[in-house]
Amino acid sequence: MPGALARERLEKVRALCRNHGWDALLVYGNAWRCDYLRYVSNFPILEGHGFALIEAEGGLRLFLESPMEAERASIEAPGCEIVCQPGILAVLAAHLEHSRGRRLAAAPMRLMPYGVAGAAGDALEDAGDAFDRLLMQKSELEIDAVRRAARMADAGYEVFRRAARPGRTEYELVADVEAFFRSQGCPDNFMIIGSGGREVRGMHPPGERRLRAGDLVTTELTPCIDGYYAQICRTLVIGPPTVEQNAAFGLYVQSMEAGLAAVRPGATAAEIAWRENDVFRARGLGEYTTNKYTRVRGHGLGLYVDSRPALLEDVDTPLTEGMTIIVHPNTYHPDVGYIVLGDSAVVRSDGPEVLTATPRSLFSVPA
Amino acid sequence: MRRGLMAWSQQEIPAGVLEKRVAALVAGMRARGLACVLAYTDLTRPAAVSALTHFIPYWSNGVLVVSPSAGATLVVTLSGRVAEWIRSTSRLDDLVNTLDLGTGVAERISTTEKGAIRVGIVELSSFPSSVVAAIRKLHPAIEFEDATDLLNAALAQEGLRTDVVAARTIAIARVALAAGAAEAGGRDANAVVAAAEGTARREGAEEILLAVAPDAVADPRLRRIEGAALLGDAFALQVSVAYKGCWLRIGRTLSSGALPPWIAETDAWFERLVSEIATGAPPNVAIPTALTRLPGATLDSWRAETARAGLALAVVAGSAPFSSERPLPVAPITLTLRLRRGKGWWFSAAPFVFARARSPA
Repeated sequence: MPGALARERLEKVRALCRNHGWDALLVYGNAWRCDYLRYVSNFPILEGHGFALIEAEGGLRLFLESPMEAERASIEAPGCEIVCQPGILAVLAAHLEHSRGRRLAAAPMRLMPYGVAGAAGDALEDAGDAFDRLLMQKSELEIDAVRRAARMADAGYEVFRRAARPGRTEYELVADVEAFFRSQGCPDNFMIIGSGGREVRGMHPPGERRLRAGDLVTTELTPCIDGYYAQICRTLVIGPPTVEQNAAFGLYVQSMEAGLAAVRPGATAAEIAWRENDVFRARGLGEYTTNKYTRVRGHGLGLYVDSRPALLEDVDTPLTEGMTIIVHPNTYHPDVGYIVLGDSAVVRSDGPEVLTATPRSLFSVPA
Repeated sequence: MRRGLMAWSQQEIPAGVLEKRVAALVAGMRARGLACVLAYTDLTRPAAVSALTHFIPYWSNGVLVVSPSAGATLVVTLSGRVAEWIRSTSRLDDLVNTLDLGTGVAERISTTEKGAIRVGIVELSSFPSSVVAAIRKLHPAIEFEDATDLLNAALAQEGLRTDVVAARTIAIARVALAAGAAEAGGRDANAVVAAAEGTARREGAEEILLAVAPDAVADPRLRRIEGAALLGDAFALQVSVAYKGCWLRIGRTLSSGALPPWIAETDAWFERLVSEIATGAPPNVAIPTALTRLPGATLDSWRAETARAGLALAVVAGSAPFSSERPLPVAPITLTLRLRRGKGWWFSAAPFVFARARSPA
């Protein structure tokens, strides 16, 4: 499956080059922003800088900073010519210098190191928007990978629920989940957590705080299968939920379901966000949908954890069939604290195909 | 992408050490006539900013602006809602949350300095070109120069090492490797890496990367494990661990059954070699000499890795391509060797701290 996916994506990139008249495309990646590089080369970079230079009508060359990564690429990125030399940025810059006179595009420009972009001067065209459209629009092979990642997310949340108990630190809880993903052959996950009461305003990497009876414990799990991420957001209570916690959680269920109900080809990212936020506004809680209390109301999913489009009221990107997104009205609630709830979904012609199957409940674990 | 425990213990890394490092950098920039020094950070290149402030972004990116007048200001694209978390894990003089990193940095410079100025950048060639462009747009007369050597000099000051963190990182790596090795009998690579991962994170690791050569007799190359993978009679496991910004690796050739005598003998040989290098023997001399004590062994490759200005683990010496840039003097060294002996490949990686700050090259 990964081989077929890689070939499919490479053909799309070559077609993109031909359609824009680019002779070659330069793509940058690192372990944080890995999606552009993975799309082109299928190489899951973990350390240092990586660049892929793809010729519209020719080969694919990987320039890697780390010699260990170069050796790993010889196994994990078959078909790529691998270049790894001391001063790889200067090596690549010299290569680009020799390519003057050809039309060369690059993505993502905002992260392109100065040693490369500065040497190329104005010769590099920004391929970002065109490339982002490739990243957003998934094929059925890509959707299948996201679907499998969603099943992994559901299984991971089961482990999270079992691991959450009073006295355990946040980082011990996360350790159990990460070890579970590894045991299932899942090599990557993005995960943040929050625990406590009304004082909690968001999620963060795990700290040393110990869980206590009455805590709301929030998490978003984002496991990766064949390079594709799916996400789930859920909230649990240590001990029985209070009346206030249950009432507050009901609002998030309504909000997420209102957002999902609006998911269809042609709807904009803004429309989804509006539907989610209207539920809060109707209860006089509109303030809690602003960036003072929350970041986004969902986002795209794919080869990156937090892809375009961001679900925000000022983002007019239209949804198209085959996009994969998460709808999550995560925000602070003034009565009980920070609550999260989110499901991954595919945009289908007749509405959303929801990929995550964990019940939309405020879970309770023994205190 | 994964992030484990991220917390700042002032017992391990006192604020005073961080303040002295920043002060040493400011002294260096004054001597060179620089208005400020910029250092980039994201979770893949955190070393410079982590060494100065203890801050490591779990997500997104940022630039540390160090100036004589304003000290250490972090400009970061994380939301203002996590400002409290950032301050709880960092020693900063100021914090700016922005949606646009380039503009945020450029405006920060404009608030402290005016006119034609010289600005130093740690790892200038790796710095995002978009940030350079945004600064130039607001300050057309600005001049940039590489300031990596200034950072290295600042961190080399006596009394600013934090060996307690290196020692803790080494301890975590050792128990993680042992936990993985304990699962070898099942021949399931996922069970091995899961044991190492869970153990490291329960011990407080901030991050862990795992690589395996499932059949070390046939192919010694290390790779990620994704999906199912069966282990051969001999396999190699490498564990790369981060704790409080300190990165190192540990690794061994393991067996799914009883460890063959030749592997145990080579392990003992390597332990002595590491001890010699840790106490001052140059590796490019010590390794060939040691090989004369190991009959039938053919060296395939060796490398020494440590933190460089921005990169947490960079090859600074060895038989593979390595950087000519100087390592940070505050980090431990990892020595890795791969050799062929008789029928099989042998690999090991061992971290150590020099008795006194120095480069392994």
